[in-house]
This record gives sequence, C-alpha cells and structure tokens, in this order.
Amino acid sequence: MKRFFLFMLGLLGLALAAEPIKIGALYILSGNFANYGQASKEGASLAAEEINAAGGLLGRPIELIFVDHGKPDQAVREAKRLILEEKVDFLFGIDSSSVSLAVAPVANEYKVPLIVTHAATPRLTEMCLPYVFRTSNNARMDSWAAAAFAAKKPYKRWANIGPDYEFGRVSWEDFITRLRELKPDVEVVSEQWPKFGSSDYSSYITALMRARPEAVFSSLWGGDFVTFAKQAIPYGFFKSIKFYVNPTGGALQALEPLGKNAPEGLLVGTRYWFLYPKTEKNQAFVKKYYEKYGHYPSYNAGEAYSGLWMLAAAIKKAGSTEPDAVKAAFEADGGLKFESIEGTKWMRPADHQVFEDLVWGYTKLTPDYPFAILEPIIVVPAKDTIYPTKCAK
Amino acid sequence: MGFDLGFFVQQFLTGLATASTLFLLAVGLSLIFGALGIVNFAHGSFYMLGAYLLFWVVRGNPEGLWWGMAVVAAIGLVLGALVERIFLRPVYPRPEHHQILLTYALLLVIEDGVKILFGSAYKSLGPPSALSMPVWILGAPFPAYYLVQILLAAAVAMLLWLLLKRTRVGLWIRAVTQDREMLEALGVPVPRLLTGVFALGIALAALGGAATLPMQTVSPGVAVEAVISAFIVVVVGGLGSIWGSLLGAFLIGEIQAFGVMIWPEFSIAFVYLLMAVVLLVRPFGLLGRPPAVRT
Amino acid sequence: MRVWLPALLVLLLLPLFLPRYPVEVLTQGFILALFASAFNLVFFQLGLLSFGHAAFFGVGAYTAALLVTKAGWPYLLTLPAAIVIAALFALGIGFFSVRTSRIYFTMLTLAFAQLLWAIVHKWYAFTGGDNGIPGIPVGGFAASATGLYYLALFLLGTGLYFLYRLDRSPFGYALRAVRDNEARAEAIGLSPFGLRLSGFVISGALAGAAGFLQVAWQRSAFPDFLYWTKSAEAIIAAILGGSAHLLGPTIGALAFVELGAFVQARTEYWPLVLGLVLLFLVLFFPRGLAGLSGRRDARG
Repeated sequence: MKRFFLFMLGLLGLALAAEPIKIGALYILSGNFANYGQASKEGASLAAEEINAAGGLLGRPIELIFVDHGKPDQAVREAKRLILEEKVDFLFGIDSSSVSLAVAPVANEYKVPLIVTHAATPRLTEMCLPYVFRTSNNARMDSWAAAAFAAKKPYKRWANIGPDYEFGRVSWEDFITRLRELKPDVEVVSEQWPKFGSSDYSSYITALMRARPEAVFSSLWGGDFVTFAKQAIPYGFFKSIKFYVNPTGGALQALEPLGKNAPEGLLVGTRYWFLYPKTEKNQAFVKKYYEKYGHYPSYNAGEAYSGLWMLAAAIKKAGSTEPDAVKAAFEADGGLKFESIEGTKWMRPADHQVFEDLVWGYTKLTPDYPFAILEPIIVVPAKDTIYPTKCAK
Repeated sequence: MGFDLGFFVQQFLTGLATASTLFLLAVGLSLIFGALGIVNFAHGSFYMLGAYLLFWVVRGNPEGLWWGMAVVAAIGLVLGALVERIFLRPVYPRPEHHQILLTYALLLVIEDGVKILFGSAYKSLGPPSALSMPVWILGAPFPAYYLVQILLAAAVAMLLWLLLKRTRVGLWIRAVTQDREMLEALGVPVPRLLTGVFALGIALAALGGAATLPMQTVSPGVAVEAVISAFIVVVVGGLGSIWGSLLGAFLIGEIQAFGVMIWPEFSIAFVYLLMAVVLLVRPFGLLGRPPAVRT
Repeated sequence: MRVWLPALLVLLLLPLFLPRYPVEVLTQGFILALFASAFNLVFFQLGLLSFGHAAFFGVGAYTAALLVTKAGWPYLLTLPAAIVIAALFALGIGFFSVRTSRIYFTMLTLAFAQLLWAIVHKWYAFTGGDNGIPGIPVGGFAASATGLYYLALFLLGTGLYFLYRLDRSPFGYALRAVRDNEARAEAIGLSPFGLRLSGFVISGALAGAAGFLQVAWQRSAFPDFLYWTKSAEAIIAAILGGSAHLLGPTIGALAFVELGAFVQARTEYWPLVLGLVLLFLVLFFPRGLAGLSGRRDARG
C-alpha cells in the first residue's frame, strides 16, 4: 500500500515537474515595425531552446507563446487572454512604449510579472509597479549617455530632429536638460518634429540646415532613420554639420537597409551590438544566431535573449515561479546582477530598472560587412547613467 | 537675415518634389473615381506594390531604375485590368458601400500579401549613381533625383492632358464620367473602356510608388498612409479633375515645405487643416464640380 | 423580430457559465456594437458615410477618463458628461459637415477627426499626449468583468431600443425623406440641414457612450481612439452585419470582435484573414450577415 502511494506521489511529482513554465511574449509582429518584434522573437526563442536543452528551469521546460501586441487595446486584450486563458506565469516583451504603459498596470493587477525587453519610456519604471521589470536600458539612459558625449565636444549650436511622439520628445528633453547641466553655454537653434513614420523629411532637412547648427541630436529610429538618412545625404546635410548623435542609430534594422550608402562618422548608440564585447559568450551567441536565422542579431534579439536568461536566473535564485519569490530574487542583495552576453546587468531594486554599460560607436564602412559597423566603439559605463528614481525602497 | 533666394527656391523645389509624388499617387485615384465612380481604398496598396516590385525587379541595382520603372508600370496595367475584371465588375450595380468594403478588403489582403512575399523589413534602394550628388541651385544643394521626379510628374500630366483632350479614347473617358448609358448606346465598348481606365490609374499609382523608392523606404504600412494622402489631394483638388489633382498636390507639397518653417509644432496637422479649410469654402474641392446625376 | 428575445436571454445568462476572458471579449463586442449602431444612424438614415466617428467615440472616452483621473469623479457618473460632450463635438463638426455630401462629407469628417486626433496626440499637459491616460481607476459596478458586461449590454440595449423608436418615428421618416430626395423633402417643408444635423448629433452622443464604456474595459485612454482606423471598425461592423437592419451593426460588431480575437490569438495575419472574409462576403453575401436571414434590403 505504501509503495503504491509513493508511486502515485512520484507520478504526480513527475507530472507537475514536466508542466511547462509558460511565458506570454507580446511583440509587434505586423505593420511597419514588424521586423523589430520578429528579431525579439528570434532572440527569445533561441534562449528558450538553450534553457530547455540544458534541462529547463527547476526541471520544467519553458514554453514561449508569441503574440502580436498591435495597438494598446489589442495588447490589453491579448495580455488578459494570456493571463486568463493560457494561464501564463510571466509576461514578456513589448516593443511600443504606449503599449507597455497600458499593459503594465494590467499585469500588475493580476500579479503576473512583466519583464520588458525593449519599450524604452522612463515612465514605465517610474510607475513603480511591484511586478513590472525592465531588463533593457531605457531612453533616459541613452539620452544621458549622448549628453555625456556632447558635453565633451566644443559645439554650442545644437538642433534636434525627432519623431513627434513621446519617445522623441522625452529623449530630446532628457538630452538637452542633462547637456545644459554639464555644459551651460549650449544654444538650441532649431527643433524639427516630423510625424512618426513619415516618408518625406525633405522640408525638415532644409529647415534644419538653414538654422546652421554645429551639432544635431536625433531620436529618429528604424525606417524613419533610414528614410531620413537617404534624403539627407543628397542635400549634403551630414557634410554641413560637425557632429551627429542618435541613440538608436546603431540598430541593424536601420544599418542593414542603408547598406553601403550609410553616412560615416555618425555617433550612434544601440542597446546591444553584436560585435561587442568580444567575449566567448557573445561570439558563441552571434554564431548560433546567424546559423539559425541567416542574419546577425540586432539589439532586439540580443535584449530578448539576455532578458529571458536573466529571468531564468531570477527563477533559479528564487527556487520557484511564484511572483513574490521572483520579485524578491530580482531585488535581493542590492539587486540581481546577471552576466549576460552584453556584460553585467544590474537591476535596481527600487524601480526594477536594469543598468548596464551602453555601447556607442561611430559608423564606418568596412569590407567585412555589407552594412556600416561601429568603429571605434565607445562604452559608457553603467554608473554614468544612473539617474535618481522616485520609487521608494 | 535678409530674404535668402537660394533657400526659398530650395524649399519651393522640395515642395514640388513632394507634390510630384502626391500627384502620381492621386491622379489615378481621381481618374478612377471620375470614370468608374469607385472610391478605391486600395489605391495606396498598388502604390506600395509598385515600390516593392521595383525593388524586386532591379535586384538591388540602382542603375536599373529606368527600365525597372517601365516594367513596373506595365505590371501595374495588367494587375489593374485583372482586379477590375475579377473584383470590381460584379459590384458596379451595387450600392457604393459595397465597393468601399471591397476595395478596403483588397487593401488588407495586399498589406499582408507583401509581408508574406517580401518580409516585413524595410526595403530600400539607392538612386542611380549619376543622380546621387546634389545639384547646386543659387547656392543651395538640391537632390538631383528630385528633379527627375518633378520632370516625371510633369511629363505624366502632359501626356494625360493630351490623352484626355486630343484623342478619341480621351473623349470617351471624359464622356463616361458624365453619362455611361448614353455612351454605351452610342456603341462605345464601355466595359473595356472602364477596365482600361482602372488599369491606367493603377499603373500610375505603381509608377509613382516605384519612383519614390530611391529616396524613401517601403514597408507594409506604406499603403495606408499613402491612400489617406491620395484622398486628401484628390478632395482638395476636386474629384475627377486632373488639374485638380495637380493643384491639390502642389498646394499640399508647398504647405508641407513652408509650413515646417512657420509652424513646426503642428506639422502633422497641416494637411487636415488645409482639407478642412478648402472643403468649407468650396465643398466640392477647388476645381471639382458637383457630381453628375447618374441615371 | 422575434429572434432577438431568446438571443437576449442567452446573452443575459452567459456570464454565469463562461470564464472571464470570453466575457471580456463579448463586452468588447457590445461596445463596438453600440459604436457601429451610432455610426449606422448617419449611414443608413441619412445616407452619409462618416469617416470621423472615432472623434465622438474618443471624446466620450477622454471625457470619462479625464473626469475620473483629474477631477476624481466616480466612473459611472461620467456617462452623462461623456454623452453630452460628445454630442457637443458632433454639433460643431456636423454643423460644417452636413452641408456637403457623399465623398466630400466623408473626407471632411475625416479631416475634423484627424485634426482632433492631432490635438489629443500632442497636448501632453491635458490629455497625456500619445502616452494616453493609463491606469484609470474604475470603481463600483463596472469594476468587475461581469459588471461591465451587464452595463455594456444595458447601454447597447437602451441605445438599440432608442434607435428602433427613432426609426419608426416621424423624425426617422423625415430623415429618410431627406436621404432619398432632398429637393422633394424641402418642397414639403422639411429642413434638410436641421434634420441632418440633429441625426448627426444623436449619433455622436451614442458614440460617446461607447467610448465611455471602452475606458472601463481598457482602464486607459489613448489617442488612437480618435484615429480613422477606429472609425473604419465601425464602418466594417455596420456593413458586415448589414446596415439596413437595426440589429445589423450589432451582429457585425460581435462577429468582427469574436473573429478578431480568435484570429489574432493564432496568427499575425489578421488583416489577411479579415480581407479575405470581407471579399468573400461582398462578392457572395452582399446583404451582410443580417441579410443571411433573408430579410429584404430596404436600401436600393
């Protein structure tokens, strides 16, 4: 009798142990920015494969459910479906900042931890929601890094061209405020705000050039950056200014379409650059990714991959998938430190925002790649980007 | 700072380049509405398809631009004819909203269609090397390729005018906007004429889209923005009027170019403001006429 | 129309049997149904295709959202405000729009709605700009999924009943008289402008009520409530279900939302599926889903 009972207990344990850890991943998979979501999907899938090949987490396999998050109302509905129907243990992802702001309170209300790997609005973590975490750096850190570079240059006449929505506005605000703190004699000679997703930048380019800035800050990203660059080059825009800085210009989704037409000498940032750091870990990842998908990993892929691995580390440390245990694991010992392919990611316990070294570089065309790479690479140490948070701890 | 003529000309020409793209995009829509009475929501989709087709046909070689555009225009004609025969002809006798739904459905299908065929990444192509350097006009640089676009639009406008005013087919096209039944009674092959007009409109849209690829990128979301722009141009200029499309495109192009200087904060709203103002003052567009009574 | 009574009974009982998520999806369907029915008042009774109805939906939503978050009103109390403010905007936009007709009317309503969208999108201080207003506290009856379900069903039912009475009233006949032959209507003493404007305002008010509900469902308000793609949803739902039938937009809306939820959970190619479904329906079932029952299409 006892043996039978133990046997049933064993079977039950096995059944429970085999039950997968479900993670609902919300990314943009359709429309203009679908390739960003697609890259994240690839990176996360690779991480899940590796984790499962090594025996899973706590003996259980990871199951990723990918969903196109679309607009905020669709995203909220999908998040609810993932939570209520699919009964996911975690929510993951999110490309669009406004979607992240809509979904975060919902995830928090249901106590399903949300791990964000892309959406960059500082407001997300400033909402101080206990079950919301971000493993990638945000727009404020990018802007502060850009300001740090800008302060070292002698240029005083600054201009901006950015997409007319929160990301563009906040990036510029954070940048210019910080720059003025570091270098009070800067002067803003022009601000241009094309519509996000615009196809025609010509009039903005000429207006910008007319103001004769020495240096330009831009938060145009993705297709906007590509279109802008294509149109700016024949106007001689990049030759007419001395310094151009763009925190998201180092994304492969922008550099690859520009190909050999990319202007050189632009100082661009990216949240993950496949050629840095030249560690074994990173190179192994890049090789594996390239073999599987046929192209190099962009920052979305890198961040999704690292994000999933960091979540795995928190789960391992917590010894369970219980939301409060995982939360505690992220917060304990001064905040979880995780060695990712990009370097050390440290999560600040107060607002659950990760800080890490930021990779910047000057665009350069080389014969090794059909697109511009970053050379030389300049690393901004994490400690230079730590801004104060209003979340209590 | 005194009046900088070079800069003014530069802005003006920039506006003309924008207007050229808008004209090619919108003139087909206007023709189609005038002759067939159809509000073609899928018009932007064919514009987008033109860009994708060019990308595919020239295989990344910018020098192939010229014959590439010719090929795209030809494909546009064939595609337009097929779409008209298969999808539009059944709905001619039906109320307008069926046609709207049909063309909207085509928009949706083509949007995902290009995503499946070409992937979701942006597609881009450089201008031919002869045109990638700026042209200096009164001391200000101006992209050479834009001049080509302006010339192309002017040529198309000229050819269309010749077609409509100086040929028999053109006469028929103008007549079919007024009274289709009468034309049929006179023995003109109206169904084939309508197919031809639709095909022409689509070919113009595809050509317009292809022409933008050297200076812009294309991705699946382009169609929707394009069709809204096309509608604005056509409505401002007056539906069914070629000169109206030209005027509408010109106004919008220049408003974009100069508005950015005057009121940069609100640049996303200019076109809607213009459209609202025009429609309030002239409810049928600047050069439009009240729609003919359809018997 | 005897089929609606058992259908209503089923709808009333469903939340007792269904898990939470399907209840939420149905609620979304009711909200779109109310919005589409509001749109259809202008489309069917006035014969005008408005591409700017999202403006009223959005205005109703933002009124509710702002009153709750900035003035501390309890959510349910914001309904009358949402309706009234949406009606006022409809009065303003309608005043300029209903003088035009056909495609020009469509584009003018589009223009106004897009202008409104641009203002909401940029006015960070007041509307939160493109960040919208997230995390709206919804208290009371509407806070639970079931409660909101019944509230939405109640408002939809009330709206439909109102539209039913309107359709059969002298006012409704007057609207259709103007729609069918404006000159003759004027000759018998009707005022086309006044009638059209009244119809437009009522339609706007109902759309505002739908927006009010959306805020509770989503706990947030975003500028894309006013973007033309939102208007397109109402148009598709109304035509899909059959705009000649009172319940047409409702059936179309429920079908659209259910199909959307189903497809979007399984594939990223929702536009393709929707497009194919619409093509199929237009080519082979022109009277819409409501027309499947065999009722004659009153519109020629």
